[in-house]
Amino acid sequence: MTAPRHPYRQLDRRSHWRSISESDHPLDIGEWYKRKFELTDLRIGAAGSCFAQHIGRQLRDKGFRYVDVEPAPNLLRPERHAAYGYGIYSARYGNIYTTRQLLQLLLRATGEFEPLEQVWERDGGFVDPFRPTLEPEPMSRLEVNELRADHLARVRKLFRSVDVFVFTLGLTEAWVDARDGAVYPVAPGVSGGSYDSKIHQFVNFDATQVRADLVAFLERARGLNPAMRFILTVSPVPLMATASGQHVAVATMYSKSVLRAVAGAVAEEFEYVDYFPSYEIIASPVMRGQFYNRDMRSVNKAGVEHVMKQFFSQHAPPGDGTSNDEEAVSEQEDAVCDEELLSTFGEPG
Amino acid sequence: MTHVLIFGDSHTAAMKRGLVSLREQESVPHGFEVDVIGLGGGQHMLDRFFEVSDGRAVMTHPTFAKRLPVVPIPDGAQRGTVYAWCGLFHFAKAWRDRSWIDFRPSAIPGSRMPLTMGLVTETVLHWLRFQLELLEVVRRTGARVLAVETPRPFHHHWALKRIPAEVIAHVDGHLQDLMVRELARRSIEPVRIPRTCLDDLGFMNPEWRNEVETDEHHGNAAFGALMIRRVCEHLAAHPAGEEPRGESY
Repeated sequence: MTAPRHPYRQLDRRSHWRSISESDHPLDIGEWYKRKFELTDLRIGAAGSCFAQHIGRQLRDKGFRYVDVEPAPNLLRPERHAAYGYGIYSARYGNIYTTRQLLQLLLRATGEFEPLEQVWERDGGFVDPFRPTLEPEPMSRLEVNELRADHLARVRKLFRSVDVFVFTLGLTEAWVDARDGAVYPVAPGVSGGSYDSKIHQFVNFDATQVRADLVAFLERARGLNPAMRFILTVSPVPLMATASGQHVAVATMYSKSVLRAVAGAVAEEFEYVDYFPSYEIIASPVMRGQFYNRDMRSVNKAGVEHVMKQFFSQHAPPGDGTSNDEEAVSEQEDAVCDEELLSTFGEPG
Repeated sequence: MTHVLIFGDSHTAAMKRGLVSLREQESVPHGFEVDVIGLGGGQHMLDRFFEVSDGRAVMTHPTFAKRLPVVPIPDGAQRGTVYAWCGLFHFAKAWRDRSWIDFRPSAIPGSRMPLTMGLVTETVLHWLRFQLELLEVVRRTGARVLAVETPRPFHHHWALKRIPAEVIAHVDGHLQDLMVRELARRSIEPVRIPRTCLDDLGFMNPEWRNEVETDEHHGNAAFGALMIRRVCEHLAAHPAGEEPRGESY
């Protein structure tokens, strides 16, 4: 007697929950992700909420053709790169939490949108409202303007040059300027500027809005660069705080659900969009919260490594592409300094 | 008789040669006894080169320790020694950096990527943190501490082949101003190069360049002698108890 035919019989093992329940250990669960397209030899850019930092860094360190249009100056010691917004993403745009913010970045880069607020005051200086924590200290107004103009030109270059853009969706909540709709990465007053309830409004985007902004971004980006493809992920990092009036855990679940649903739907709809389940790998109940630190918010190193292991199982790293060339001439001059002393003082006794 | 101990990095060599020439010409300013001790190249001061013991700085860098084991010197209080440090005003490591091939100070227009002076400031203060700390240690003993300016950039420096002069001048000028402020916060008196030694852009006039043709950033004996006289003139104009506050000479 043969078993009755039904649609689930033909599915592979990973389609059944028993592939999870029968695993000896959550880390043994595999096949989280099947790539839609290859990354071999493709130029890759990255942006998104804070979890996206790990993705970009790992792509770079593993030798992928990771594009950085605003590399750190040699002057700045490596341990301070992140403090100055270098090496975090493919450009110094800081965290991009919402799809509206991403779309507006593109529109600002192409000159289609110029927000009313150009600078925020902070501690006697100024910061860029759209990346107020770019550097530890406030700048002069001239510096903010010069850095922004150069940054947006390089972002435009980034969108024109990358083959694949990885974007990690982070939040649905944002603060906008009611006058022109400009979305800020942080609430006015937190890292510069001052909050004005008549101007600054809280929004919590719904799935329709998130989708519209995301699709508008995809289409405009491909308008600049028709062959561009995308990998979407959702940050597993819960909200630090919510202005929605809901419990932060409830607000987090709303936000992540919307983002996950939209990312999945868009990836289904467009053949040039892939979805990588970093959110599920970290936040799924089968992982029992092991990848969160004690605050149950930040993702630990093991979590990042496990996520990227799943990613690299489908996108094999080409190898270590890092280089570290030294400034030989400066070293030469240092040697000259010793010679100058020796010629006058002689060898110490 | 005021005892002045000039000490510091490789720029002390010009001071030493200047002192020798002043002594040969019997031109050491009257009322001053000057000694010059070079510790070593500034690149050795990027890492900690001393430790604090009983309120004094004990050199831990082996070469430095042979040249000047402890500051203040053992009989310094008895002699009323004034400590004049050479090393905090030469910013070649910052303005010659290859960063300036691709970057520019934000205030200078151009197609290179703009850098903030905040980034440059943090970087340089990090490099100089041990030098500044050393002077703070000496200052806390009650000794008088000066910081002697060393040569500004020379036009024949190799960096000008690839970095625009206005970039070098801007970075150097910013850092000069920064250092004056940092010293004032620590009650350390700067002794500056006379403006007549500099051109309109703030570069050194070539007459002060090192005697060795290939040396592109140290001064010569004449420069050393000039700065020794400046130190003595400063101390004569501002005797103990009448130190200038927040001003540079």
